[in-house]
Amino acid sequence: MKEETRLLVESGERFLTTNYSFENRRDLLKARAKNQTVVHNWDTFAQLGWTGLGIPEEQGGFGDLSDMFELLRVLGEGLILEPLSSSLIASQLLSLCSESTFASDTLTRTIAGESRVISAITESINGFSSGESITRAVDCEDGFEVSGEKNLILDGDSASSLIVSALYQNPDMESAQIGLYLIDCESDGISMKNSDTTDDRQLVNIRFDHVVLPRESLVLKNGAAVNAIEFEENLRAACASADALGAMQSLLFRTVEYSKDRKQFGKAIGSFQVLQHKMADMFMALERAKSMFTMMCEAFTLSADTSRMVSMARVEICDSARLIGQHAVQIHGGIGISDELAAAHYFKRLTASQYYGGDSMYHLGRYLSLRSSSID
Amino acid sequence: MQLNLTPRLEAFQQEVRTFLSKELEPEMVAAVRSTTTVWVEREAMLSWQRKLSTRGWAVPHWPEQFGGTNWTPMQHYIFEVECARANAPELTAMGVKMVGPVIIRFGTDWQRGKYLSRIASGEDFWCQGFSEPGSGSDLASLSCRAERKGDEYIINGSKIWTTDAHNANLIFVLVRTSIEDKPQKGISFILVDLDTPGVSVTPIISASGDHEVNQVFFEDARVPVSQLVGEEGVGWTYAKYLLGFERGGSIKAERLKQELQRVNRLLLSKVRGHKDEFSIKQIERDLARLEILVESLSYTEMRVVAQLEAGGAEPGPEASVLKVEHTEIMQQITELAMMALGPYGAILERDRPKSGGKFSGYTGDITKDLLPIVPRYLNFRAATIYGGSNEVQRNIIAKTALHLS
Repeated sequence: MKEETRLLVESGERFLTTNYSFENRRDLLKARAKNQTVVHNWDTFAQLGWTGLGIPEEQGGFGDLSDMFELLRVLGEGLILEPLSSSLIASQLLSLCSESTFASDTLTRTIAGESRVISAITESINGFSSGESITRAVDCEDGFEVSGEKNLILDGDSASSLIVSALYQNPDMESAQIGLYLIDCESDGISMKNSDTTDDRQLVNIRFDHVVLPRESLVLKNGAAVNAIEFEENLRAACASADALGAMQSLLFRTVEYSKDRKQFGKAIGSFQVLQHKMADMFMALERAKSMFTMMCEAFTLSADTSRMVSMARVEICDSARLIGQHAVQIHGGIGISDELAAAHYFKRLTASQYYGGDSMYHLGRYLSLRSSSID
Repeated sequence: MQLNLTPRLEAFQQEVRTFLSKELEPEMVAAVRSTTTVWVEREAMLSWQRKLSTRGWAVPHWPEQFGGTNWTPMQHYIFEVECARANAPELTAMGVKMVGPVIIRFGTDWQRGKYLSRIASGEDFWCQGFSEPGSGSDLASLSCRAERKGDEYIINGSKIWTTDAHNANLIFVLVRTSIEDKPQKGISFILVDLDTPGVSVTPIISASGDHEVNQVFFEDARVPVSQLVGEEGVGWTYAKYLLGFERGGSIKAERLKQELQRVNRLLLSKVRGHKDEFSIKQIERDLARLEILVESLSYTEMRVVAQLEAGGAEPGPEASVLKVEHTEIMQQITELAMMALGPYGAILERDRPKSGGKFSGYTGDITKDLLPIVPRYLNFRAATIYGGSNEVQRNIIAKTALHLS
């Protein structure tokens, strides 16, 4: 591990120790208004520089994507509720729009913690896939007018701005072109509908009803936008995986410790072979997840093959998350399904987060389509 | 995992590839592809061992003074992966990976001089005498006795599931030399010539019809005390050292990838028939899932190698993790291959020519892929039993990685 990464991991661990005990976290959940994402520690994140993680230094950030995933893994151990990963994903997109002053300025403010941008790409009709956008952009007097809907956007409610994919067409064009639009959430015509997730976060449906935007809002288009959308999909899968890996590590540790304390039939339940073997299986599932996390970090350093590798990693990590979550509850017994205890919250995170960034079935299909030797 | 090979390692990789492309013969590759058991057919394996031995690569993990190399963990890894990719035969472990390292570490100079070079060259062929009819997973309960009389041990009892005893000329056995203390303490590690009067080998035919394992009987077999390895009563320690090599000593993911390619070839030739779309899709999906699982094993292996390369400790629970993972994945692959066979899945050909079997409607290369599948499915049920059953491995993981007791 690089020295820079090690320091980052330490700062993440320190943050969890001081600010994110299970009781702290429960207070955060109580304090938040209903249907809202928790953003209580955002200033701290910005002060620690985490809001600029993975962004090149010349744009005001530090570290690379591996550092970013590593921090998200650490914070996953504490089941953080703040929309850090969603914000970092959008910042990656902003970072690609280097020719747009509007995007660069927004990125600078985001790194400073003054604004929060969330990417809104997915639409219900496409399921997990970024797919073809139905949301449309057309010319209007003052710039563009955008109409459509983006669905199940994680942490969407916490955004001050959104990056939205839309198809643009004017009468002179034979076919529509995809573009990314940076949209202020205060714009007229935007409405949001939030859903609470199993792990106490928010998935948001965002409607755009003839939303009028200035010209500068189009921050990326054509091939670059297509690539950015694929990149965004990979990032969502990777961030959810990094977070899940942290949660798995913590949950296995908690389960093993619990099994050493809890006594039945006059003995610690951890002394029973059936439970030992279940925990050995959890350990092996965790090892697989760690290995695939390594692969995933590498995938982003390659110019080709990133999607195939990310999908492979995602499949294994989702399946490990399910196995570890279920076994942990079984070993805890009744207490494992009580909302009063940490184990249930880890189980809920590991359940819900399988559906952020594509689940294992979606990514298995994606891998199959990208794999070279498939049959026709 | 990107190995980020230094120029020196890249040159090494090239050196291994060149060697393989020059020396590995088609018959050896064919033997690997057609084998139905863990090891390949003896002659093909031995001719490959002779080539490796000439090059000085038969026992690379041994110290240089005994004919090994001073390769780094990364070089060993590269070597194993390249050999697997080329479908080179794996050398039978009992000599080079099991008894060899034990003799090097605990044996006498006389034993080293007598055995090591002959193991490396393949002149001696070893088998392993651990399990007994009454002692499987509970190995420490073994009862094969060795009684010391003057300068000799007199051995009585039997060993079972002895792979390749019918091909071997030597056996290393765990025997009980004392019943005074706790079971582990009365065990000794002895090297026995299979020609010794009183030693006999009886075949055990597997469910597949293959002759891979045997039972070895000892009736008043007299063995000079100079054949004892290390100290009397400390054999258990040596056995544990050896089992560490058996479990974690090799890189398997690349071999599993070759197995997956076999299933892919079966799928592409639509052995299940051309109209069974549902099954073809399902098998394709299962195959993709297994490819991902094998990739994760490959990364786990690389993480272990990277840890060794960085000067980390010898693998502890990792060896058990790798054993469980690779054997259970191997079983899943053989199971999927059976599914890909469709209606041919019921056929067990007893007489298996190297050229392939009599699968009506199929000719050429594909029959070479078809033929070993059913016997492999049957034989590889043993993979989760041998080398310390996977239940025992899970006990070890719980104890050493999770500190459960």
